[in-house]
Amino acid sequence: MANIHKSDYQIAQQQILDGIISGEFDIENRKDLGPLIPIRLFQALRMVALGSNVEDILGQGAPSLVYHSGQSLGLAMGQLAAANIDKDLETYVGKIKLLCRQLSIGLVVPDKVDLDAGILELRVDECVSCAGIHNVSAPICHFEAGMVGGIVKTFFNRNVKATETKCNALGDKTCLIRVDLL
Amino acid sequence: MSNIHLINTRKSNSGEIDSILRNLMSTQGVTAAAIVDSDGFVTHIQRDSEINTDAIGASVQVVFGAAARSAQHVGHHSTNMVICENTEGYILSTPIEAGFILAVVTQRDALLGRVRFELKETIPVLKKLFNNFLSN
Repeated sequence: MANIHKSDYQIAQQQILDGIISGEFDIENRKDLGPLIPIRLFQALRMVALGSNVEDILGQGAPSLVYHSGQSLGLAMGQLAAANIDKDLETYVGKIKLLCRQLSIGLVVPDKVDLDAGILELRVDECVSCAGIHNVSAPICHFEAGMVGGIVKTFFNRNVKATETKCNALGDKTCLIRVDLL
Repeated sequence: MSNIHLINTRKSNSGEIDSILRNLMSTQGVTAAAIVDSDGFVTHIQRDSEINTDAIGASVQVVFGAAARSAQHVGHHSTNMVICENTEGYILSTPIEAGFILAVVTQRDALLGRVRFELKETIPVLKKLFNNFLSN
């Protein structure tokens, strides 16, 4: 049997995704502090560790990395939501909405679904990444765009391109992600 | 408020871009030629064999970005081309416009100078196409 070596990050990733898939949000070794963290800590990880720090090293490559990271999460969430639903889009979207709410990622609302044109637009209200952030010059939720792209890709089993066209941090009051089915 | 213009080169100039990539593929040793957008998404590709386009697109942007940052740190200003020399071949990436990158994958026996020459000849043509598209 082939010995598939996993890095420590991959081992941790598997355990985190398994935890999400199980729907069990309690976590060991956090007896006093519990499973929840302040949103500003998440935003520090997202916008500093996976944002400005990555940008310092990768320059224009930073959004690609962040998008790709979000897509990995979206693919995992999609696999979870796609189980036992017999390819029913409405049920799939319902499960994704619930999952995003449970994980406090945001309130996902389908804004436009035009399958003939191959275009879907999903709103992410109360987006975890950019809530309380203002005065940016361009959309900053590449992680969420990638995540939505991964979710849609899983359902349709097609390549997709997800683009954030509105961002709360730009003053749009919501984040709108357009997904083109390719 | 947002004033986002989607840059979808798939729906415009697509035939011309594919033709340019096919032309690059005719260079000895070239096995794939692709356009990667600023999000690391492969918008156009010509290839001899199956490639994980999601992964290669993001990787090309990340490698190019890191190389360009390194160049800035040593005062080399803008980066015109990044060449990865690998055991089995080369990956060359060159900026076009608006964060788009042209990436070419070759076999080990490709003539690097020839491939570089073809890329340098191709980039102005692509820049013109992209500029026309972006200004419309």
